[in-house]
Amino acid sequence: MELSKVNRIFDIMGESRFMLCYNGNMSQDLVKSLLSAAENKLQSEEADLLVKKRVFNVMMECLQSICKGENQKTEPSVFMLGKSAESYDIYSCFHVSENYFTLLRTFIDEVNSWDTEKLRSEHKNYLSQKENSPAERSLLPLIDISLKSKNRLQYEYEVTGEKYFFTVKTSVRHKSICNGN
Amino acid sequence: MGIDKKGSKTFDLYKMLVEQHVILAYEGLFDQEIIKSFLGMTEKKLATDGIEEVVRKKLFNVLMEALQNISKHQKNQGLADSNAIFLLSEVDNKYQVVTGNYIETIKIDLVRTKLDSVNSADKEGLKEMYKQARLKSVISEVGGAGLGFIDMARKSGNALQYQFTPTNEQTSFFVLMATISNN
Repeated sequence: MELSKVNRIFDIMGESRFMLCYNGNMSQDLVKSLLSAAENKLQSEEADLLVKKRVFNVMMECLQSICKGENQKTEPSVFMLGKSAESYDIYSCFHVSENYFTLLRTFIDEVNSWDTEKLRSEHKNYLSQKENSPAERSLLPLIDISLKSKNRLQYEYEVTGEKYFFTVKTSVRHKSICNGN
Repeated sequence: MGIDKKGSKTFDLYKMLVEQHVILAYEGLFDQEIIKSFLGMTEKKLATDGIEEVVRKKLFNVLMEALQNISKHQKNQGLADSNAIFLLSEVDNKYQVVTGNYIETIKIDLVRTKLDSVNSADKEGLKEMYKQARLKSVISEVGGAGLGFIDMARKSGNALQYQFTPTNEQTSFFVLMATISNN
């Protein structure tokens, strides 16, 4: 590692308030460890139990969705936890094929157009549909994440050769802001 | 729904993490619970990757020392900005444990002298330095006998790399890297 780059990473993490970043292949053991590290971080950062619980649940869903992702075994994924003045921000970043990219993007746009009732009913529908393909099943956590965060999912992507580097950002608002709504 | 300006930094950070082969990055306060989490996480990661026990043990020890050092300095420095960073990277069959923290510029010469003296010592020299430092050391004394540096050099089996970057007239950013060979 170039030592001069450490300052740059420190600056980007500081400016964008990223607290924790993991870059690599994901396993169930690592999910547990990352959750534990993030939980400890939340313990010192957040006093409100409800917000803590919400952030933890969203993190768990995000990590599980990375873990079950399309290219998880061959391509490293990234998980990041950040905090802004308004919210805790959880980023799941992974590589996807063009086909899955289209499916994912369309699905997130659809999820974002649903209200809470619709999210709940679609969640039930997905769970009861036995003929869902693995790709379709992998989308289920996104409904969960939207429900648990009580927020719309944001995404962005970059083309990396034949694949897409896809980032889903989920925000969980701080209590004072939740109360303001 | 697109990501705001902050979100667009994720790809910049991702590129940087990939280019620098960073597995884990953390910025913030280092307390005992966080340290325990990182140690546990690294242990799991190394076990999953099938890394041999000798390397695992070395890396674990260096990591523990580096994290404890940074935690101790954060508590005692009394600087306005006590944020610090920890990075773990893997490149060319080597693991790199990197810490970065603010330091008072007037302390740089002292720290540099200690690091240079550690880096110039051989295995036996380090052993002797360690004994002497333990005799002189006062627990929690900042900038004390340099026990942490000696320990990291001994356990990693490699010279410690470092860099100081001035941030203002009084403060600099101190980056320290220990390298553990995976063979």
